[in-house]
This record gives sequence, structure tokens and C-alpha cells, in this order.
Amino acid sequence: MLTPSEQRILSCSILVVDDDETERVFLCKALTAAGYRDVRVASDGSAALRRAAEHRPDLIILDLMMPVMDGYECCRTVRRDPALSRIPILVLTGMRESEDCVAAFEAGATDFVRKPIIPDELRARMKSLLEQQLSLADLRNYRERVAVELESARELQSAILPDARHLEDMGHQHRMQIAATCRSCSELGGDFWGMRTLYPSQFALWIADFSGHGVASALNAFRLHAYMAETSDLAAYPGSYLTRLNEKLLPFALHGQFATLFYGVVDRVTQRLHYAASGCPPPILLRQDGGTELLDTRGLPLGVALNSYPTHSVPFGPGDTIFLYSDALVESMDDNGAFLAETDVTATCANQTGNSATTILQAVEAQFNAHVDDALLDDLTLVVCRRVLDFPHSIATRT
Amino acid sequence: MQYDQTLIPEQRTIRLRGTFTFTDHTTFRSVIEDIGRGQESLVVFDCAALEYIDSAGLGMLLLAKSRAEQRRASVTLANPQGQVAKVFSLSRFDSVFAVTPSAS
Repeated sequence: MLTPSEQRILSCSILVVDDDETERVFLCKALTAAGYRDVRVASDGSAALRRAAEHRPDLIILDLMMPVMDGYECCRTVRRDPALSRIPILVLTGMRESEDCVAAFEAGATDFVRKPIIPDELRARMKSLLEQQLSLADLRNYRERVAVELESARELQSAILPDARHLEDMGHQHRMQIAATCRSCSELGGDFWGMRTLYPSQFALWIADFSGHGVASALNAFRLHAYMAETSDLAAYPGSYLTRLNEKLLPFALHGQFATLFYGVVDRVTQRLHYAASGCPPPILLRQDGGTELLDTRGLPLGVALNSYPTHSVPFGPGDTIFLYSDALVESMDDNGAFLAETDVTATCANQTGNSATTILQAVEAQFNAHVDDALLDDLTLVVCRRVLDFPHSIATRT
Repeated sequence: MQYDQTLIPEQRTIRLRGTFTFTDHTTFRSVIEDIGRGQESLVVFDCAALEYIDSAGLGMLLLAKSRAEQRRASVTLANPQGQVAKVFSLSRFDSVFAVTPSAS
């Protein structure tokens, strides 16, 4: 009784290449006797290449000395062809010529068997080559599957971010200029942000980051996002909202995983921004008159322990701007190991007093790009919301 | 990040040096195991020479704390400087850890 892995090996497709018919028949008989069911033949190198292109064998058994195209040239051609280059090649060499082997390996052979062929030895070599080949193929398939899954997870993740249409609607409704950019690092992450209308004169905006990287962090971010949506009864009360979100996260929180969140509510009647935060980098307020301030975001991250989060409140009138950013902005090192300081970013914002949200965003992005020229290690999210008095509003989103 | 430990009766002091980020996960796991196996009632992380910590580093400190509490030991964060002190303050770590200015 054969094991499944033996069955798998015997169902592999083998291409036997030899110009000597007696030798070909001998090899085919030996392979068939060993249980191989898919054995094909070719009588020279160029015929072998045609057959290989048609059938994609799992293993090529190749004689070196042949007319038309010899085994060395055949090896080299197979290795140059991206569609065939991974096929293992077992070459058949004469008994005395050890330099044949060296040249064959240089041409791309995977292993060799000396003539005269001993069927048991041939079968053992084939088995080991095919086992390697199959486990490599399994690994490649696994990697490809994971890459596809991660890619669709990344797409899902960007789907919970506001799209251009939503920002345009928000801008219209609340007389805001909104500019945002989300630059994703190659991994999945725990960052997201959003905006939502609560009342005709009130909207909420938030930026969140679940600690860590990768799949766990992204799943946690989705969980927080779902809790935020289902806690809408408290959405107008930032402190109570965070307190409740924390309570929801706690029972399922894994030790060492937590979320920082800034959640603000802009009220256009009272001209104020109410907000609560759990240890995120402090958003920057840029006043119409050029003054700047950092919001107070001190707070225990969500998911660590029971906690009560206070609501803070600051004036936020027409012409005022709030700038939200993810920690990548101030936690990315330059070549000398230095970080971009909040004060540097604040100064850049102050220099943009009176300018549009898009211009402010571009200035900070330029500052960041000048600071860090390596690949991003973390997601970078930048959001600028500026209250305007009159239309035309303006919107810009880039991803 | 590098670290070393000293053990006197009832107190384990772990001196952290350099930067403490998500890449230190494996290194720090052995610290957490040491804490779990220990007998002392107080674990002190001396942060005087710790230059930088990110959210993953904070998470690992929380893990160390919960491991220590499983065997009724308490954890102190001592002597945080610069960015580390700022992050502890931003995250209100003083509400879940004892944060002290010196490691004594």
C-alpha cells in the first residue's frame, strides 16, 4: 500500500531524453516498473525543449551526448526559460568522465547518475529530487495564497477609510476643507481614521491605531471600528464614548495589545471642538490668527484596564484648522536616528496660516519626506480639516 | 534593545538600554519568562538608559506586568528619560504602573 506522498511522487510527469533508443526503452521500462505512470520521451535536446514546453514535466532525465542539441545546451536553455527554469534535471554521465559532471552542474543540472544505470539508484535519486520539488512547490503555493489573502485584507482595510466622495459630502455639509493622505507600509497595520455626521451642525472625526503590526493588529482595528459603529448612542459625548469603547474591548483584549484613539466632535453652533483621547500623538490646532496648540491626548490606551476618559473642549471657529496624524509622522527616524519633533510640525503648520487644507497637508508631507527617505516602517496617515466661512469648499484626497 | 538583570532578595532589577520596539519581541519574551519563574516580590525596569520605546514596547511592558501579577509581584518603571518619559506620560502608564524617578 502506497502512502499519499508516494502516490504523489509516482504521479509526477517525467521526461526522458536520450538519443539511443535502447537506452530510452531501458529507462522507460525501469520507470514504469517503479510505478511512474506519466513517462514521456525525446531523442535530442531541441525535441526535449518542445516536449517540456508542452507538458511541463516535474523532472527531466537527460543524456549529455546527443546530436542536434546536446544535454549541456539543453540544460542552459531550460534554466534561461522562466516557465521551465524550476524543473529539476537529472543528467546521465559516463563512468569515467568526472569533468562531465562539473560542466553539467555549471550548465544547470540538479543531480547526476552514472552509466551504466542501476535502476535502484536511479529511482532513489528521482524520489529525492521529486520530494524536494514537491515541497518547494507547496511552499510557493502557500506563499502565493498568503500574499493574495494579505492583499485582499489590505483592500478591506482601505475600504473602512473615508473615500473621496464621502469627504466631499462632509466638506459640503459642514463647510470644511478636508485633505487627507494614507500611505500604507507593506504590512497590514492597525491604523484607521474617519468622519461622520452626527447632527446637521455636528460631526465627529477620529484617528485610531491598534498596537503592533500585521494580521492581529488589523483584526483588532476592525473590531474597534465595529464597536465604534455600534456605540453610536454615545457618539456625541467623546469621554463617555471612549469609556464605553474601552469597556467593550477589555473582555477580549489580549495582554499587550491596545489602541490609541483621538475622537473629536466639532459643533458649529457652539463653535467648539469636544474631544477625548487615549494616548495618541496630540493633534495640532492651527488658529485663524496663526496661533497653534497641541491638544491634550494623555490617557490610558484602550484595552489595558478599566478607565474613565474625560471630555476636553476648546474653541473651534471658522478659519481654525485641526491636523490629525498617525505616530509614523513623529516616530520615523532619519539617517542620524533623530525624530521629527511635534514642535517642528507645529512650526510648519504655523507657516501655512491662512492657506488651504491641501496646502497645509502638502507642506507637512514635504517636511516628512525630507526627514525620512527610506521605506515606511509604519502606516502614515495625515488629515487636515479646516473650517471655512463660505463656499467654495475644497476637497482633496490622495492614497 | 539590550538588557541586564540583577537579583537581590525580593527585588529583580532589569536595566533596559537602547530602543525598545516590535523587533525586540523575542528578546523580551525571555525577560517575561524569567519574571514568571522568579520569586521576588518587586520587579523594577530601570529605564535610565532606554532611549526610545514604541507602542509594541509598551505592550511588552504590559505583558511583563500581567505575568508578574500572576504570581503577586508588582512592577515599577524607574527613571524614564526623554521620549520614554513622554510616552509613559502620554499613555498614562502611571495609572497602571508605579513610575518612579529613580531605580533604588
